[in-house]
Parts: sequence; structure tokens; C-alpha cells
Amino acid sequence: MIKIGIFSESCEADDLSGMLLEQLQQQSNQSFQWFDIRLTQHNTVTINEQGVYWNDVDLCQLKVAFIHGFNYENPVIPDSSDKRDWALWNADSITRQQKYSLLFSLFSELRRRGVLLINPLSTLIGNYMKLNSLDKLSGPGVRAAQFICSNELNEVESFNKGVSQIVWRPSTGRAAWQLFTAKQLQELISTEKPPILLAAVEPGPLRRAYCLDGQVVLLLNQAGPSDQAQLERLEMYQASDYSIYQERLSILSRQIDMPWGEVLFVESDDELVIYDIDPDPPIESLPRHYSEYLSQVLAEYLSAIAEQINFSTLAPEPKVVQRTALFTRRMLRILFDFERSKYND
Amino acid sequence: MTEPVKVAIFGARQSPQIDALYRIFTDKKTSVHQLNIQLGPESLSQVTVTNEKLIWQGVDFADIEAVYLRGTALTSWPAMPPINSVRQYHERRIQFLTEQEYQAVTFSFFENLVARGKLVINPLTSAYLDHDSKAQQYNKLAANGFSVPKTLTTNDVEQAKAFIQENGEVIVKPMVGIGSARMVKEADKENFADLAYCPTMFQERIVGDTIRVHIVGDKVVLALKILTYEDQIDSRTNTQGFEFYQMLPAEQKKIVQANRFLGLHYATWDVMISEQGQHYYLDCNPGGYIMWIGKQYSDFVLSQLANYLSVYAESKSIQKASDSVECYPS
Repeated sequence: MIKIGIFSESCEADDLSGMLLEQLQQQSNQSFQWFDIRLTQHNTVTINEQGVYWNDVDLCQLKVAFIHGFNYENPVIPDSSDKRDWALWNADSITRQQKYSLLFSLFSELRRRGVLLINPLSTLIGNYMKLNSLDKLSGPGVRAAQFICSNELNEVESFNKGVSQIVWRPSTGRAAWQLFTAKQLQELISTEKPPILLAAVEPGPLRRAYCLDGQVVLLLNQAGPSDQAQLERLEMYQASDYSIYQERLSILSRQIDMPWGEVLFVESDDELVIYDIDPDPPIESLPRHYSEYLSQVLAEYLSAIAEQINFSTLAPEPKVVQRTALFTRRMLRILFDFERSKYND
Repeated sequence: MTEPVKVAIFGARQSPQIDALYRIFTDKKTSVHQLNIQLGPESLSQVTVTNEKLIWQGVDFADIEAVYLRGTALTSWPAMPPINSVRQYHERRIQFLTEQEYQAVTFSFFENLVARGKLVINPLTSAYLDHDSKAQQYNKLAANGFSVPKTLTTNDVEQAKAFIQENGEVIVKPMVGIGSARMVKEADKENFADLAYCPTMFQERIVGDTIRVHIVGDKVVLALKILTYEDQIDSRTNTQGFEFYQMLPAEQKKIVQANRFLGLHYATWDVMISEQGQHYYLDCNPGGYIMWIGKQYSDFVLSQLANYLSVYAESKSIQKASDSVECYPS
């Protein structure tokens, strides 16, 4: 019987789903299956009052459904592919909208019928309302960064006055935090444009924690946005001891109902100041040493749920690993200098 | 000292329904903020959200206690129209990406209001989500004792054929809140292989009258039979008029329960009453367009909505707000 469902658009070897499938195979787990959420041909899905079925699989029998690459979208975003016959009228956006609706219903139904979703749709919708998610975060030794979301000049200028340095990103959170200077103020703050998220920069090291089942399983140091940073700082990944954060991040991930995800924070004056929560982190972009480790513990966790046994894991070897494939350093340095010039007044 | 305004109503610019609701508040001598829910170049609305304050279109929401949303108003299309140019396609796709940023702020704003204890009578994160994922909505309603037509959502040709075989006359409808229902005809069956490209929702056809039910708080304030041509499938097409319908008290109680179950204080429902008198819930519209029912009826419903919002804003009591609502004919 299939107990673990992996739902994603790809199961290539370098995709998280592909890595998970490989790990599950290595663990001799027989009870998993990948489901292609592009709903390409030969993927028949049926929802009726009796249940939810994918080809011959009764999905309500699953113990856990792992969802990767299915974000909340409103409206549904047309796909980015160019592979169309442009000599014809293309209307597949409607098809995509209907497929999206079907998948949203499918995951809602699985949750209602007792299947554990990683992560629940409510968490994904919470992530869409990034601003609201951050606003809700509080607990012993944990708080959200001081932020504002606005398109109004006076409000932003007023916020600007009270803090030493600011970073910004779009309201969806789908971009890196970037420095916010007079140029950004001029370019981005307008009632003709979407309001943006701004946050006060806190002093302290920036860290990325990967949390699973309420436990931290990996902590990486990261360089924060800076106009002074050495290029090399962006290329290195260094695992750290996470034991001192374990309890606080455990409470946090349960508070937001996120069995799996990433928390971006600054450790400042014994407080964890949260800058982001990501319930579907793209671990594929990490160095292989860490992405393999995370896919391994994720697979162990999924198996533990399927077999109804306790999950525990060991910390990874704390290696310093260079970001993959940055051999064209000279070219990159030029590009980084271009980017950095945006911050020069 | 002037009393603070405690109610805000949101709709698209030039929304006749929001204009009418605003006039009704004015007639009742109740102050209300009428706000444009669309952000961006058309509205130029200023929006600010911080831990301390919420501002929309220059209005500080500190004193606002009750909010009604007619619906969202996208700056993009709800879905991409047919296109045969790669550049146009990607230009339009950018609009959809930008729209995510507008909607992320809009969703956050109203969720933030709810988190601060304000009343949003039709939140974007409850029945509006159901409205665009009808397959699960029908199952959820059925599982909780509310009667819905037998429904199948599938891209499996064999499943669709079996459903039609079992149920005889079957209608087809989209899974999202836009689009009409139509009968499955013999000619359609020749193209059933196309189902593999796009999942579709099928429902058993219920023969009977379609009733439009308007709910405010704990009351069915108005139920109307939609008059259509004989054999018309979707009552919104070629509507011939409306006729007051007296719903049985037990049915009123049940549909109010369904409305609360979906997290709503206000909605318009489409209910099919079969020739045997069985009530089937076809749709729940959390924003509910009501101007099509005529001024006499729409003013009545909007007046009850205004009562609910203003009484709640003053009393912060759902019970008192619901008690202030009257049913037609009052």
C-alpha cells in the first residue's frame, strides 16, 4: 500500500523530489510514489464524494503527502514555457487554472480526510500573506523584525528615520532581502506600484535554520546584504551548532503549523529576530553536501510517519562548503559591481 | 467632537453595489468609509501595514470595527486571454506576477484586521478560497450534512462516462467562481478524450426551481425564485425575473448553518429545489452580486447588511447585529 505521496512537478535527480525518491529507495522503503502535479497525460485524477483517486491509487490511504513547488497563487500564474505553437491562439492559461483548482481541492480533501500534508495549505496561504505571517510571530526569545509594508512615501520616510539601516523585498517575499537606500526609495515607493516590505536591519549574524517535525536539523551561517561585503562571503556555506536555538525554533515552527521549512533569522542580543519563514525551501540550490543531508533526513521523517515510529536524526558533519559552480569569478565580480552600483548615490 | 467612523466597505471603483450600499448608510445617517479594494495605477491607493497601524487609502483602521468586501478587483485578468504572440504572452505574465504582490498585501491587510479582533464579514481566506476550489467545497458540505448534487471532478474519460451512465442528464461547470453551467450533450461525448488535457466538474442535473438566497447574520433575509426559460440550465443566463419565495423555517435554519460553517456572516447562495422538494446547494457567493435582483429587493438586502455592520460596529456583539436584521417582507 502506498503510504507516502510526493507531489511535485519534477522528479529529476537534481530536484528535491528526485533526491527524496532516491533516499526512500536506499532506505528500502516500498510504500512511496511520486505524483506529477503538472497533470500531464496518463495522470488521471478523480475527486468525488467517496474519495480522491490518482490513477489506481486511493490517495486517502496515504499517511503523508509531501508537497513541493505548489504555492498559493491568486490569480493563478500562467506558466513560463515558450513551447507553444504561436501560429495558433493559446488558451492553456484556463487549463492551468482548472488544474490548479483541482489540486487545491485535492490537497484540501486529503487534509480533511486525515492525511498529513507537508506542508498544510493553510501554511502555504500564510506564506503568501508573508506580512501577516511575520506579524504573528512572537514567543519567548523570538520576535519578527521591525517591519513596514507600504507604498506611501511619508510612512516609509518616517520608518526610515527611526532605524539605522533598512532592507526591502516584495510583499510576496519572493526575492532576497536587499539594501534600501535613497535610490530604492525613489524607484519603488509609489502608489502606482505594489507596496513593498521593509525591515530594520538588526546587528548580529544571519542564520538559516532548517526545521523538521519541530526540530532544527541544520543551521547555516549566511552573509547578510551589504554594500561592503567580499564576494566570497556569498559563496560559502557553513553549518553551525544549533542546540541553543532548538527550543525557540521548535515552538516557532509549531506555532505556524510548519512541519518542514526554513527560518531566516538574526541572532541579536539573545533574541532571534525573524526575517523570513519558507515552508517549501528550495534546498536543491544548496551545496550537494547539505542538500543530500536534508533530503536524507526528510526521507527518514516521511518513513517514520508512514511506519508510525518516532523520528530522530543526527546533526550533519559541520563542513564549510563552497557554493556550486561559481568558477566564472571574474565575470561575476563585474556583475556584482554593477549590482552594487545601484546603492551608490 | 465627531464620532469616529467604524464601518468600511470595499469594492472596485464604480461598483454599483458598493455605491448603493454607501447611499443606504447615508440614508441611515451612519458614517461609513467607501474604499477601492484595487491597488495600483488606477486607484493610487496608499496602503501601510505595520505592527501598530493599518492604513488603506489614507484611512487609519484603528477605529474601524466592521468590514464588508464586495470582492477583490485584479489589475490583471483573472486568467490569461487567448494569445498568439510570445512577447504579449510574457508581458501579460508579468502582470500576473505583479498582481501576486498586490493580492499578498490585500490578503495580509484583511487577515491582519481579523487578527486584531475586527469583524470582516466575508474574509478572503475562507469562502473565497472555497469559491475557487469547488470540488472540495461540495465534498466538505456533503460530509457535514448539507445537501449538494452528486458531483464528480475528473480528467479521467472512463470515470466521466460512468458518471453520465449512472446519472443520466449531467451538467458540466468550471471549478472556479467564473463561468456558467451547461448540459453535457451527445456531441460533447465525441470529444471526451479532451478531458485528459483539462479536468472538469460534472454534476447530476437536478430538475426544479433555482432559488437565490440572501443571508445576513443568522437570517435568510430574502429568498427569490429565479425565473428562466424552461430547460434553462444556468439561471444567470437569460434571466426573466425574480419572484419572492417563502423558504421553510427548517431550510432557512439549515442554510444559515451552512453559511456559518463556511465562516461567513453574509453571502448569497444558489439553491436548487427539486420537483420532490429536496434542497440542493449549488453555490455560495461570499461577495454576492445582488444588483441584478432589482432595486426593491437589492435595497432591502443592502439595508440589512448595513444594519448588521453598523450594529456590530457599535456593540461588538454578533447576536445584537443579527437581531437588528429583518427578513423580507418586513
